[in-house]
Amino acid sequence: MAGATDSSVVRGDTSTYETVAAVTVGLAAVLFFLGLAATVELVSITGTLAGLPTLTTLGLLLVCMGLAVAGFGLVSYRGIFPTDPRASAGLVAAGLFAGLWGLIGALVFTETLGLGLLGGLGGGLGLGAVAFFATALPREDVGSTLPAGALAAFFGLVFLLGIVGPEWSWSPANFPDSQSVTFFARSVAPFAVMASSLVVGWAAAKAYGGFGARGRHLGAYLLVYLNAVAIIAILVALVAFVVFKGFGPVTEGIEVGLGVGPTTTIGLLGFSVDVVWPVFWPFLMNGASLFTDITGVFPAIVGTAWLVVGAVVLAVPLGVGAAIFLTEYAEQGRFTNVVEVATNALWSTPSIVFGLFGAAFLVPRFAPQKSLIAGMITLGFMLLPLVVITAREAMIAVPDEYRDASAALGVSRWQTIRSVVLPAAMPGVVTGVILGVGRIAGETAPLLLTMGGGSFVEAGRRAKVLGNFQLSLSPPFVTNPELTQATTALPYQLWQVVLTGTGQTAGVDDVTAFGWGTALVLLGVVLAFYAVGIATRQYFRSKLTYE
Amino acid sequence: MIAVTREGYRAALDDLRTGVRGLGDDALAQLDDGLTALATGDDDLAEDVIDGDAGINDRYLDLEGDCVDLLALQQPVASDLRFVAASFKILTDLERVGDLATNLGRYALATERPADEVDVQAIGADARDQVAAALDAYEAGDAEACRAVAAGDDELDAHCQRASERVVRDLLEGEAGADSWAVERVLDDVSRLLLTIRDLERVGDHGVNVAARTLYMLDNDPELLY
Amino acid sequence: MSETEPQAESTARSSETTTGETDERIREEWSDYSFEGEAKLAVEDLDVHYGDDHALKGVSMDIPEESVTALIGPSGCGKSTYLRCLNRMNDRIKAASIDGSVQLDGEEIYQDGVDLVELRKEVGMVFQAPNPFPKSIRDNITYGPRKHGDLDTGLLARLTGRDDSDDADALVQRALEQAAIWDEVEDRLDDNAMGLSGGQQQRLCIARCLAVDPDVILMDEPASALDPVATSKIEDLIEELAEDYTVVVVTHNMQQAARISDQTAVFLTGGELVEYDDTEKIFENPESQRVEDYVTGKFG
Repeated sequence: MAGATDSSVVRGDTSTYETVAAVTVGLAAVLFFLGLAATVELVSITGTLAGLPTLTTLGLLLVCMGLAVAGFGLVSYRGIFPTDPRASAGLVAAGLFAGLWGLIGALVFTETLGLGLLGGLGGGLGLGAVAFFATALPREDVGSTLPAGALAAFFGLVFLLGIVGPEWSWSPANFPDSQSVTFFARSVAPFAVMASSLVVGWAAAKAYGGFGARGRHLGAYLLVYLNAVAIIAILVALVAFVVFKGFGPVTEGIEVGLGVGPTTTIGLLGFSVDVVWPVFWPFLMNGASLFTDITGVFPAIVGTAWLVVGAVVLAVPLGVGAAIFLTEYAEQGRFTNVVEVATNALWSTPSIVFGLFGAAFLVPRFAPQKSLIAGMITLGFMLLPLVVITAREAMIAVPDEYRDASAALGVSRWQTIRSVVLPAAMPGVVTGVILGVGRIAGETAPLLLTMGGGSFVEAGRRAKVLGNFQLSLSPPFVTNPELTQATTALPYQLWQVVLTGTGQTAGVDDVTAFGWGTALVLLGVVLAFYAVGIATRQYFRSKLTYE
Repeated sequence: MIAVTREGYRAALDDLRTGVRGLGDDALAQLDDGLTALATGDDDLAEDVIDGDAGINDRYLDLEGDCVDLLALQQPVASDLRFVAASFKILTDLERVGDLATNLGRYALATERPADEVDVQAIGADARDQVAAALDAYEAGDAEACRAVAAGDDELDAHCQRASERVVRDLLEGEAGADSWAVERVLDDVSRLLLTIRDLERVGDHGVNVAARTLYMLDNDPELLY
Repeated sequence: MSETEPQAESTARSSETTTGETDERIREEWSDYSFEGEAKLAVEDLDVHYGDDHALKGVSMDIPEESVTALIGPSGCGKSTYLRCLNRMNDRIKAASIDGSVQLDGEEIYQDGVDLVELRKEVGMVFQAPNPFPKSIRDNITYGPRKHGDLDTGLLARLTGRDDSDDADALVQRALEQAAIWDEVEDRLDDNAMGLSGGQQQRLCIARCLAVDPDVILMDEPASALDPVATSKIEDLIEELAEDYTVVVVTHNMQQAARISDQTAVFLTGGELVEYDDTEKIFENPESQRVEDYVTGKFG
């Protein structure tokens, strides 16, 4: 082994030991993601992987890694490779291994050896204690590697020797309340793989770093990195899944060409122009009617768009105004603290509560039925606390120096707020609005209670708010019958289709596919709002900074 | 690229330079008048020289105050500091030249006949020129000229030495056996003459001091400051 | 005439160690420190408390017009507090209570009915750390006049053709020239002010202050956050400004006070004004032993 001697400051070239450790870390990462994939059946436990039955392959890998990790520990202990371990692997690691091995011990003693509950408990405690002391007492290099390697090797052997095969299942006999639960290999094995790969990866990373401070740093870094990548992977998988499932239904029947699409009439000052769209996108442009082949979600899109617009129009001025009062005018004391607590509580309130509020107070106000405007206001109230919180944070973050400078020039407080504080706080406010819009665009529960109705309507019966403002002689002097109609929105539509199964009566053949399509459209609409928000924030930011 | 800053301070430094030059010119003028009074026996001129000393002393005190102000209020460093410190000392030498010029005036008043055995005027002119050259070197910032002034002082000293010896020799060789009044008068004349020569030599030395301080101010070279 | 060097002037300095009585006597002697010209600001018996902390104790001094007055002293001695009383910026601090009289051109500024807007238009302030607004240079300069209604460059004004854009441009140029920064920024007036260097930002703040045409400019350690070259430019600027404005500068840098000011007031710990006189006197020959100790650095 070409053990490069390193001075304390300059590290030499990578040695064989380090290379093997690096490879082990890589393998552990691969195994981790294999396990993750197995939990969602992307890799099938009952099938094959790389030519061999999945469990065999996994078992082989686990055994190899377990041996390698134990080898690292040994090599380091014997001093064949210079490392710098602490006196002990630490209580946290000891507790972790104690827990893992204790679990294994309990299960083995209960089931495999048939010793019953007490036996299982005793076995679990015993094995857990052994693992605890095996980790905590010896030097760090041994304490980190041996229990980890043993765990991986144990699971590996269990899979390899067929003790747990693809058809394995287990119903514990003494489950309380005479419930019976069955654990299958396909649900248990992935977690075993993931746990093993995490501990092995951690031990191997520590070995790579020479077990000292650097080793611990690398071990922690590996775990954090895997965690971050896993989160992003799950997120990407989610979006990809929706896109994958929804793309077909959404794009069905698209035609591009002149004169193909619907006609829009644009009327301005007495002139009206008929514009024929060159694209016909049925899923987005149709409603539900007997005359269309493909049922679309156009009314729902319109409904969601108006809901968001209405909520923002309500929440942003009120929220920013409240934030201005709380930050600039009110004395920081009990009152502002109470308001802060209340605002935070409001933001955490379940959305169905808002829905009930809307149903009780707003719906009867405007019309005998559920209405768009009731939905708008409810969602506006849901958005309000977040706008208050973020606007307040943004204004507190504006440095006092600007206010001092403005005061020294003899400018009144309100003018200072309007001309200096608010423009500087705008990026923060817009961020809050973006976050809030993301939440409320997808809310279903409030809509059930305040707005939902007519989810399968023709395209022509969408809420046409713009063209329908009317003056009236009695208060409120401006009415809009469209606002007081019940209408649909995307999440509501999705709920109706998936859960109530009414789709088929509206001419939707494949309800599930329609559901996925609607979900994809909702995702798209929310991302579109995000894009608008981010562009707005960028605009405000550019005015504040030097380019 | 560096803009000129501290213009008020720069102006104050220039004023100091001009002021020192001015004081030097005044002292030289006094010296000229003193020498003329000696040569011509003009008693009125001699009186003017003696009275003029008060003006020189007042100017001297003002300029010293300016130096202190500059040091206290403007914190000069590097060449500026050397300039102010050098000017401080040069002012003293120039004031001293003024005092010596006054002495010449006094001698001129006391003597009845012009002193023509030795060429007092020549020595006086040399000494005067030495001071003037040093002042020019100060104003222009000319290090070579400073060295030239110092070099010329040896000759002046030798000249004065010879002149003094001649005076004493004449005294010893002449006028023996005259009456006591005549002897008194001769003794007075001779001692005044010797003092005049000595004072003129001192004037030259002050000129060298000016040059020495100027060289130190310009090149940080204490070579001439034995 | 004596051949020796003239003695340095030695004054009868109080040889007793600092005592209250000596300083009382000194205070009485120079409390009518007189100067040529008018007193722009007359302060009498100014007392400031921050809660229980007695920050300023009975300070009385008159500030002459069109000159530079420096306030020096160790940290925490009340000089910034005093400065902020002159334009009532201490009103913004809730815990501050102020007694005494401050008169601007003979008018008491702490009486009821004083318009703070007008007061702060007359008495401007520049802060220690440059604090330009995150707007363009032009908008920074025109901020004050626009908010006061003296300049109308809004959309409506432009549409009706009654806007003051020309006046605004002239004002911007005048203010930036007075602050000796016009040459450096004349071709980027619409760039954001945050892109300027520290020294340029401070001069911009001075220009912004000048744009509202004050009579008095208060400066709270204007150069302490700047490098020596920038500091030098600010000092030259202060000397120039003193020809037209009354400038009061707080500085912890004694040498700076010596360089730029015409008269200097020395505050010592506890909020006391110990001596106030021509700058030459303070730095060459102060009356109070405590001031002597302070300026020579025996304590700080």
